[in-house]
Amino acid sequence: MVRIRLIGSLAHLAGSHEIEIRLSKEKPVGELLRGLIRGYDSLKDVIILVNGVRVPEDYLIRDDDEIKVFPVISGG
Amino acid sequence: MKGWWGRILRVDLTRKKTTVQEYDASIARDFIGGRGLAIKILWDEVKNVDPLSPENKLIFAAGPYNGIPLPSSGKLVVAAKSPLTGGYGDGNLGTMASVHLRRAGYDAIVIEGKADRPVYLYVEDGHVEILSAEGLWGLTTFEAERKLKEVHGKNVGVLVIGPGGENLVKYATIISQEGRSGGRPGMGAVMGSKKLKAVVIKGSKEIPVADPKEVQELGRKAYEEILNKPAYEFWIRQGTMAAVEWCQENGALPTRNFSDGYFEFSRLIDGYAMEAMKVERRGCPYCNMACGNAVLDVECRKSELDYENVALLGSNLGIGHLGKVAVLNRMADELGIDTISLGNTIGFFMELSERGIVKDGVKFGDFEGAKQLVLDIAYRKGAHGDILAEGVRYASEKLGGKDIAMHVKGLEVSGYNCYAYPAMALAYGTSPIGAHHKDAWVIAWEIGTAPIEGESRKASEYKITYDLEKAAKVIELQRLRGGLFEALTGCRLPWVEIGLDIQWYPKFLKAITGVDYTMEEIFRVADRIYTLIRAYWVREYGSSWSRKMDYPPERWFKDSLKSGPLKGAHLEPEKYDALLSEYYRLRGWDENGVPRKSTLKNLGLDYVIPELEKHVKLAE
Repeated sequence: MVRIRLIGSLAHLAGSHEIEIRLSKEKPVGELLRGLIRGYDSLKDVIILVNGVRVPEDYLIRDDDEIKVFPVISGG
Repeated sequence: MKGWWGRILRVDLTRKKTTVQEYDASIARDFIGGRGLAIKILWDEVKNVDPLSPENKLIFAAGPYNGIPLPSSGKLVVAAKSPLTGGYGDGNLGTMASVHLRRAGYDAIVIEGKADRPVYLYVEDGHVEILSAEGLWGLTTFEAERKLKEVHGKNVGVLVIGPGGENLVKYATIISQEGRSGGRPGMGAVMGSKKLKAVVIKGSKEIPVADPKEVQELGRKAYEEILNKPAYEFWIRQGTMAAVEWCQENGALPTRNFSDGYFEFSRLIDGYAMEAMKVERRGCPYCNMACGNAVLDVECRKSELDYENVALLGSNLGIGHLGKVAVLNRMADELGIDTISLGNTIGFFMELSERGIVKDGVKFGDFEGAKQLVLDIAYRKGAHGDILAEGVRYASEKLGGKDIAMHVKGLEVSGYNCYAYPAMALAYGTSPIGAHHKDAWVIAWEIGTAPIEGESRKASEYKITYDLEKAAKVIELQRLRGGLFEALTGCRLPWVEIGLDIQWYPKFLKAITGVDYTMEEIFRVADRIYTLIRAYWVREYGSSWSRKMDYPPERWFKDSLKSGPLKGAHLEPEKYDALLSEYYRLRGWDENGVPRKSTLKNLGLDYVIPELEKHVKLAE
């Protein structure tokens, strides 16, 4: 299972703080997130961590990965 | 001129005289307004004076953007020479006073002198009166505003100080509408030193704009764009409070006097906790994305919460209960004291108490003790109230603990703990009023820009880097956040948090004023403002000015994060120095952070040269 933890506005747009998905094969993480987060393409930016390290959108994720996604906030 | 009135209301409280001054169109064009107008006035007129003397001037400055129904335009700059830092001081608050000031026919109000007894100013279009504040002096800001509205009606803008300002607390602010606060570096104390309790404004004029139809049409479209952004819904839910979770996840939450970046009780004071307790949503004039979320505190009173309030009065004090943090926040608003400096100073005092440097002090997590300290500070009483009312720089000199005093230039650090974030430390180091996050907030960018390299799966851990492009990024943000938005003056949150296209703003300016500023020209105005503010600091500090004034607190170098994935992280002095030198190079300032002659000439600030040369040697 892939476990995805969403922070802040991303959790709001996905309808959940945590989502679990079974992946049968590798997939670019951006594609996965696009399917989960409403309006993903119109977001300014996101910060994606896979297993604690930052990755670009085309990074291929596997079924045992842990993903954390942050919105880009601006400190008010 | 269209858009600008070209008029400043001048009030002399000593002579009890008010006049209307017309200012030149070239000043409007070169500085736009707000912070720009304020620094121009302070440079010209407030030279080497004691900030709490009658010679200091308290400036309420608007710009061409204000008073007009455009996105989040209900903001107002308040500025003076700062009694806390001794340099340039300003703040910005969302208030009906911004709308009324402009509709009364002025771009700014400048108050000098000192009344012989407590007074307040009443302005109704061209009619100006200095009235007795007997019966108001001593009241909290909430009580005073209510009373003034009973006398003058609800359709007015009110700016008021509380006991904090009256008692010259060095980080006293000016309050409006029971929770809007501005002027961190003691603008409230400057107002108190003039025995001025409040300013009440009522304006009914139409502001002459260049193209009224276009202003209306642009406004309609921009407001609609805001509502349709994906970030809008969650913003309405949590506003700035979303930053608690975000900072906790990234080790940037100020915890126990900035000793750590993670707080074990952050879930009890975050945006979700706030949502569960929310009873009201308040906003600034002309804003359609109001973020003033009010909760009921443990005393069952309403308290309007922002991230900064909660970080500095919550995690920074080790208090993990939002209802209690809300009490401290509401007390600060009632008393008219800046929540950031207050939380920072109390946190400092708590750590001194924990270390035994202060005996019988107040320890982390002690809510009742913190409440008493807030009162002691506002009224300068108790064993330590008087010292703590002076801020951490002074308090650390008197009590010890300079290694844990978190300030830059004497202004207390706000809600971002930068052990792992050099660009943010630079932002704090170079903010024009001392440590403040408004001008440049770069942590998300820092996390997001570490180059991805290495193994085949192309992943990278966050590394603390000092790439020189970080200096350029800070300047890029300062030009917009601290330049454009502080000059217009307008709230930056539609752009910076929701994603409203920045290109709207030159369009707004053109429709309002008829002047077609390109973004490059806007950057020039911003650079001019920043360099003039820097020149002001150098003039006021004279020979005691040095580049050390632009250093972040020593704690971020000598101490480190205690927990979390970034445990052990800290900044490195030589690398910070290199970053600072790059910042100076890009700004056209010398190795000491003093503007070069060529830079001053380039920005049309030639008149600064002979004055600065009286105090320091200027590089070419």
